[in-house]
Amino acid sequence: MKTDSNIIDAILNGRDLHVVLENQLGDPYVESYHLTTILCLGERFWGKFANVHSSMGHNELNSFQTLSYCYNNFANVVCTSGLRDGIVRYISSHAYSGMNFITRYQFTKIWDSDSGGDISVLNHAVRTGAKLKLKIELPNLVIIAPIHTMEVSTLKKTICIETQFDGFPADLLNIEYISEVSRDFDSAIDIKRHNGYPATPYYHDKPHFLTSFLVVENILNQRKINKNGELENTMLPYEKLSVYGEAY
Amino acid sequence: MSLVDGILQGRDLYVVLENRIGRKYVESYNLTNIILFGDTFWGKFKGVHAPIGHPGLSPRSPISYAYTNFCNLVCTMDIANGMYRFCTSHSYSKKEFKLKGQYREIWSNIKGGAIEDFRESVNNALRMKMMIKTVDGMTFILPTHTVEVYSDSLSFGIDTEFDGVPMRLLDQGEMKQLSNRLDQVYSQAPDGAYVGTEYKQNQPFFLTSFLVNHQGVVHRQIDEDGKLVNTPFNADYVSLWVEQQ
Repeated sequence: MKTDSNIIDAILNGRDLHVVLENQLGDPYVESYHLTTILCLGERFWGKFANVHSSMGHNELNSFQTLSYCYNNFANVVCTSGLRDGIVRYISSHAYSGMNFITRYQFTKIWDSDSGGDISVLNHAVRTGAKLKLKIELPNLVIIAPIHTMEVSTLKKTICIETQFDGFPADLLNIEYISEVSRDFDSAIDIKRHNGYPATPYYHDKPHFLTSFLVVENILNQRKINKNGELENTMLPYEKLSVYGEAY
Repeated sequence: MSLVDGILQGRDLYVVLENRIGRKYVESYNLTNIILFGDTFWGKFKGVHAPIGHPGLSPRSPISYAYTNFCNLVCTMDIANGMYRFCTSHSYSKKEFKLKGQYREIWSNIKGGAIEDFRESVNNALRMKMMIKTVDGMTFILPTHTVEVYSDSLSFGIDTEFDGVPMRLLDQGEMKQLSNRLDQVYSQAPDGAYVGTEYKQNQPFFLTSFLVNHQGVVHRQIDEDGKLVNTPFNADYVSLWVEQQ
């Protein structure tokens, strides 16, 4: 695993995170993924791509269960997740001989909850179809999520922001647990090296932490599934919110 | 250059919308998945819209919207549950399709391409998309999810993002008829009414999930047992496009 020392700063300043992977087993190849949703826990992070991976080859899963993969910079674990059925599976990152995080694109901060923003800049960003992302600073966690909708009212000079609907397995926030899974995998790697790599089974119905947020007039709401199985908005206190926009 | 010419040159499509009902605002969506029929198209965004405010839908299944330039329909869909609903686009006072970005073709099944171009694009994590023109004249323009470039400098495998559209969406005649019917209902509806069909569940979807390699094109389909299967796909022209920096 290779992580640039400045990568956290770059992510927090709005650059896109990607992972470039080289496989360990079989004919060698290179592949890369855009990790659109990021959880930063101090110097550690998880980045996941959107729910667009086919369940082909994952025979135990529902054919319509789209999957996502989450990569991190602190443990030798990759997590496969499926939001619909609460799917979680951990595999050893030793499946890859190379895992290199890189950042691309310089986004510009165009709004924050302290100072607001120039409504004409926000209006321009929407009208030019600019990619946008929301940074949510909580006491011990920073979440960076792609914005799905930003409604701009130039008359009222207000914005309403909705992030893409997504979520992480709740256990990914438990650093100690993930480190333990990583140690277990590392200790099994010699046994498995020639036949594959360590992995857990698919777990079903595991709780997920939804990264679906709504911001209206500086109030942040997180979507949660209530005991009746319905989505509801729950107010979430924050330290700061920032919107970053791609230049076009 | 027309909108469709721009799409066929790999440019990104997005739609800018202004609402008709309630407080006025503007919003826009990147329509990453496009189905072209000559000069007409459907463009949809990924399944990333929260299923909140849509009673009866699964709270864990995000939904997607598709917009078109040939009739007054908007389609809401959720591939995981085979759900769709059509609404009138008259709910928007303005719907404008626009293009952005520049891409270049780096490979096609006819002209080939340099595999080192693939490798450099993957190593630099550039955005890529596939264009697949079918033998019956439709063109699918789809974001790639995985591009694997093998070290033999000959082989590659490209997987598009897993997605799909209701089968009905591909029938332009039926869509125009439905649009006309909703236009009639809308013309008689009270101001502020949203006009649309009921939500339908467990309906057939056409998967826009393709695997392309140096040997051909494979289409993902759901078989009779509900399993995903690879089916050889007869494409007229297949090309890979990469963003220009």
